Amino acid sequence: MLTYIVRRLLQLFIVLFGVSIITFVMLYVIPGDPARMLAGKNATEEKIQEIRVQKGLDKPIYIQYGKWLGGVLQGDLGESYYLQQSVGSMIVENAPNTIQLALAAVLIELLGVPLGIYSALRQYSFWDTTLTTAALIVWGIPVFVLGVFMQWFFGLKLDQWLGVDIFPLTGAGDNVLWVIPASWESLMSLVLPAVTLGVIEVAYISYMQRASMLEVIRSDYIRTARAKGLSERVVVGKHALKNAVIPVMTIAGIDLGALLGGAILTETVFARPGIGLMIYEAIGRRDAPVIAGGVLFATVVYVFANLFVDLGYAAVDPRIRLEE
Amino acid sequence: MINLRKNWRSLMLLAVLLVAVSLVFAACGEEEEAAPEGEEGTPKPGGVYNYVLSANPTAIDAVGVQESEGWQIAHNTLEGLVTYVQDESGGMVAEPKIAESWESNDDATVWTFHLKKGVMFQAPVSREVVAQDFVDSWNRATDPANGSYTSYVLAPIKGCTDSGYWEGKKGLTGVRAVDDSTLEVTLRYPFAEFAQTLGHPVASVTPVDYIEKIGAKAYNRKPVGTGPFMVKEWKNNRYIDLVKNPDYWDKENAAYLDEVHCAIITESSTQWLEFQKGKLDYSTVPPGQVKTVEGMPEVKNGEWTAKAWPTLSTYFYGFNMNNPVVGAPAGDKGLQIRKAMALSADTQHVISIVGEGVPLPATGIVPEGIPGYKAGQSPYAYDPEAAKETVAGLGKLPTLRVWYNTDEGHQKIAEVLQAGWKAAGLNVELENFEWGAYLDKLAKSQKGDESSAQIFRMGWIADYPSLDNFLYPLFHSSQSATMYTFYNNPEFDDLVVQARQTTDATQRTNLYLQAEKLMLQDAPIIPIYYYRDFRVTNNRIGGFVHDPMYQTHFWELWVKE
Repeated sequence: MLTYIVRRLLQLFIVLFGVSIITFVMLYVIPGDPARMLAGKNATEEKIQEIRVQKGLDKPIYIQYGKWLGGVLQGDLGESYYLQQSVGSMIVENAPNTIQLALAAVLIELLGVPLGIYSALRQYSFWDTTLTTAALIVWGIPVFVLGVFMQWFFGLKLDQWLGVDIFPLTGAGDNVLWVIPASWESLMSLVLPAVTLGVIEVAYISYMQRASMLEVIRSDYIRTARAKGLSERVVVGKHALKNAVIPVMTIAGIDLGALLGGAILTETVFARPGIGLMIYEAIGRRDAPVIAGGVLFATVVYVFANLFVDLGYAAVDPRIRLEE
Repeated sequence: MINLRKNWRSLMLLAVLLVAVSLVFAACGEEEEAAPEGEEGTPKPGGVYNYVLSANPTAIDAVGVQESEGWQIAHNTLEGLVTYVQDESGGMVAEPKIAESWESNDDATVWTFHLKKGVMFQAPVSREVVAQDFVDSWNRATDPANGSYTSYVLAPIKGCTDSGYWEGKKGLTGVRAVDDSTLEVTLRYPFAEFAQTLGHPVASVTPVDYIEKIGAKAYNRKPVGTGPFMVKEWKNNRYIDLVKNPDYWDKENAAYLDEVHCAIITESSTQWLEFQKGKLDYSTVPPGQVKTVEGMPEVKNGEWTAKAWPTLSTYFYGFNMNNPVVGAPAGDKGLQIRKAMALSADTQHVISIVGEGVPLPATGIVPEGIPGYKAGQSPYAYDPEAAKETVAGLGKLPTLRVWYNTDEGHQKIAEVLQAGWKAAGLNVELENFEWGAYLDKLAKSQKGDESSAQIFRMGWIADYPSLDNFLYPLFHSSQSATMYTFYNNPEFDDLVVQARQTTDATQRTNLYLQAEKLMLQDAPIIPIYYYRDFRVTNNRIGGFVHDPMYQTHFWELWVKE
């Protein structure tokens, strides 16, 4: 197990190296001169050139990359072109909110597991059809459309009808222990963005869980278990569930990447400070150090999430031996 | 990234429309009430105002301020020699703020400013402002090491380059403190509107000794100026809180409010929901909802005010005057093409269909609100028949390229204009590029080869309220590359330079207006509209004004209840 973890961590560095090169090359080949955008209106060519020199943008890409990589290895992710702030401090400032949002969304999306199992065990029933259709509809709603609707209905209309301000429309509260909401207000400000981000994944997970469960409960060993006279509860709970959950765990792990992507839109709609909003603004401004730092951070989170999923396999399925 | 942003906006619009439809249904069920004959009442101290910024500012100190959000904060916390106020005609003029008065020599190259006594920096600096503070502040603003992107405002001063940075290592040689209350400024060239430029935040006075002590980064988070409000806290992408300056030196203009909470919310749909919830006293309105908002019961009964506020900015299409088809190399044929395009540009249609009736039709480059503004300067007002006749006389023409930067609104405008051009007999194809790529392509069009820009969308927002700011930086041959028209007319150059040297205000205005008219006859641009900002405000707040420089004077606001 330990060897496996060490090996995966070493792989992490290779992945980060690859991702950083791809990010840099993409930023370089996308048309548009960051110095010209930075210079704003009224800028003379001389001023634009001065900015290029000041920011090191006049150097070839491999020198820019080498300088940036050297900094990263020393724990310095560089400084934002626009904000007078280091990228490292921006990530430290924004990461807790995004991780909090992603974790809350993952918790919500896991509701899809029991829903999928319920559907599978009652295939073609009224509730199966209803849940499957609902899942397809919700799955098709873009996250920002759902976000605006949630704000309007739960944030505004509910407040107007009940006269009680339950869910804040925007912002994020303070946290303790990095990601735990420090107050009731802070928790409430998490609800709408997390549900927006998570509910679409509930639909996806329940759909996948239903398919996985259907496959498992038709397998020979389940038929054998039933033939042995085991109760349906034991057949499903002890024998079918573990195997049916494994593919869904993989999806949920990989899904964390999608959640980080979705966080860009969710954080923008809910004006919630976080890595997503930080990257969104940086992309609009071609603020390369912030984009590179944000992508690097997202990669680390993604790789670690996958590592935890793999470790989770071993706990759920003893046939999997991580050392091998 | 391009598709993500494009789809994002389209789908956001869809979401907003869904909400809008629901609002209309909701509104139908409610009885409309007549607007009360509201009395403003007497301003009283105390209370909190809930404002909103549409972006996290890149900076809020004098050196770093760039966009209107940062400017809004600086406008209420920092001050300079002059401030902009609206006169009775609605024009923005510079009035003394820290300066008591000023005068210049005959050719407007040497300026002397007399400072008021008793102007105090906010706590914790809490000392009197002296002329040397302006010398230090302007040197700091133009120091290349500080990388200001707006220091070009100070470029006329001796010792500064056109880029707005020190020429050498000595700093600004043209600024000196004669004594504690007299500042002398020597310019590189005559510029009679120099005083009018000094209301820009980059020209504000700052305590440089204090900045050196605490560091520029720390100062940018909590700048100290001389204004009626002080920065209490700035939390990135969350809010900026301002509190009343209890020791404000200008007692007549001291703030009524105790605090201003500036939430930072990027999306207008989210701002608008927060406003309806009562969390904001001010909001922008999502695209497509102007008419819905105007019909809302809260607006009709006077609880809210929905209004389009004029601004000093112009939306226009430019021509690359170096292009062989539409520019100067094409001679009279190029002029006839530009003229035909201007005559067939249906700006009223653009305003009503795309702009929801908010912008005002532009009849020149200079918008209303600039002192000396004159309507109807362009000789090519919309006349589709005249456009057809002009095109008919030009023989076979190639397909013309019109560029705009990728944006749904710009696209709709381009399509409306394209229809008018087509009706006149001009074949026009539209192309769009992301902003960064767009600027690159325009900059590379200077040599005017076959593939260079022909017609392109652009806009201009005033740095300072002056005719000069809409003419010299955009169209003087030494500057026109920065706006990509590459316009070059020596007669125009002479008129503008002559205006800059003329200290008599009436004569100067006449020269600028002549220059504007001449430029518009050459048609390096087609003026489309003057921007107006549609804003909704809660009438629990008194004294609200959104001035043409996009600023709200927080010190004039007060809570009615």
